[in-house]
Amino acid sequence: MRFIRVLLAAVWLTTVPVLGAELTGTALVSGKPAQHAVVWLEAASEPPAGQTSRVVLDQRNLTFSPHVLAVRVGTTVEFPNNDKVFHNVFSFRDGKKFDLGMYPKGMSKRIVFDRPGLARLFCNIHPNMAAYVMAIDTPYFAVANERGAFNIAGVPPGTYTYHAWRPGGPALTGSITVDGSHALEIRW
Amino acid sequence: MRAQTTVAAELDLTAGYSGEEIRAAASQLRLFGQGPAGIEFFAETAWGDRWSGDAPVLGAGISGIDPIGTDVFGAAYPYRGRAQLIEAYGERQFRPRQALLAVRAGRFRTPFGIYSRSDYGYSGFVRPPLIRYDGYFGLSNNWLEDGAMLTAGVPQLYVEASVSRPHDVGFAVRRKGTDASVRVQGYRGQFILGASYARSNPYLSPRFAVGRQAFAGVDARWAHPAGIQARGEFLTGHSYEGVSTRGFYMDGVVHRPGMGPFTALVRGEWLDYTAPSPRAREARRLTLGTRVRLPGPVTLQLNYLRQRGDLPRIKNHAIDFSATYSFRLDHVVD
Repeated sequence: MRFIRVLLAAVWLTTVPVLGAELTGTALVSGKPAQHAVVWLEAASEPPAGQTSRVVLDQRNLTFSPHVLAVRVGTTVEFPNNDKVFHNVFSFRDGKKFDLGMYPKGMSKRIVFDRPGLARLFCNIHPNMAAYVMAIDTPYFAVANERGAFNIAGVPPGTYTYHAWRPGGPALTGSITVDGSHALEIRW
Repeated sequence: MRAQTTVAAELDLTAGYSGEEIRAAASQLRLFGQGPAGIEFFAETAWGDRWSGDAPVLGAGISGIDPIGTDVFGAAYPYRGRAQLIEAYGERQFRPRQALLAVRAGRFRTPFGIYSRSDYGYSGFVRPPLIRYDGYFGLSNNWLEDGAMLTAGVPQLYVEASVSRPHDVGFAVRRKGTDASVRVQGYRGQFILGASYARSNPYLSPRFAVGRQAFAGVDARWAHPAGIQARGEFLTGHSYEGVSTRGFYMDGVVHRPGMGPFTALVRGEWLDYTAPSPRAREARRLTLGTRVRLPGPVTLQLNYLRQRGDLPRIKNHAIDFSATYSFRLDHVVD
């Protein structure tokens, strides 16, 4: 009886319709991998919702980690200070604007990124510390790894407008059909 | 989950000019990161030199006497004209539940709220506070300790205690002996409050200075979310028996939306060294300045100082300017 249940479950799993396709791609700058490039698809019909998981942008070894963070609008981002010195986090220019003040090691502060856009983060004590948080109003986004590769899973098949951004570069826009068979190559 | 082993290398190159007719150049190389077993490490070497068109200060060569005779460009490292190991230590941090427990061993800056890469030297002030410069009979940012430091508490309130031997890198070199320090730091809301106490040996010769050196201080920091920071420190104690040193500094750092790469600075400070005449010293200083973060890894610092007192070489007005180029590499060991 148990064997039949397992068999039925296996048959069901292999016959249900696929809920989304996977969009893979590569981001390049002058032919070289564009690490930290952010790629996202417009999805106007998706309801706005924050990510439920805890997203951390760490301060350790006098740097922000990761250097580029992409989150969905509504996401709460934690900023723990894991260094031995005081840190400050502020974003004054674009996107979400805030200043977390100064706080010591072991403490953490958080910010809700409740509007889309790019926030440029700095530490007012250490001028060399910089990071980016891209808040995106769609669930379909990814950040390119050190090889420039990215992967957006669970995308309903269809034609989308895509956007791409990278630190220090212009934003790019284009169109892509997602059906599980096309890869997206972004070139700056 | 196994912690990653990471190594970061930072190089800073600085050049500066002061209206006190002094030119300076310096470089710092730092290696730091996380090693096996979660041990964090930090090592820093620095080379710095200053040049003046004037004759050296009388007494140059005696411990505690800076041959240039001024604290200009002395915010973070000494200017001895040779490469020096500044700090080298390992630290293991534990976080049992929400507590904070850390053990540090090696060579580190004297634990009196002074840490490498902390805010005192990197907010845009080219000079250290008067109460923290070699030879001004207070504390010095160039005093280092060989020893161990324990941190215990919670992030909101913790104690740092150290036992060590002096290993100073500036012009004021303390005599050998056992040093001890303790610091309590609390954090609530936008306030950080600290109280510190340190005992050590004097840096002057036993012919002039007998007994032990002891200092106590309180410091406070406050940050407003609108981009305003204030901080200050009051210090009192003696660098040997029969004298006393008191002083304070108060800093304002303003970087509000719309200021772009500019940060505005203001510091007011006072130093009073009471000793048998004619060795007593008193000085006051007001610093107005700005730090400019340029595109790319370059930071400019411009300070205007209005000062008076009887410290050597002091001018009533001075302008200090410096530019720093920074370079950093990060590596993750697989």
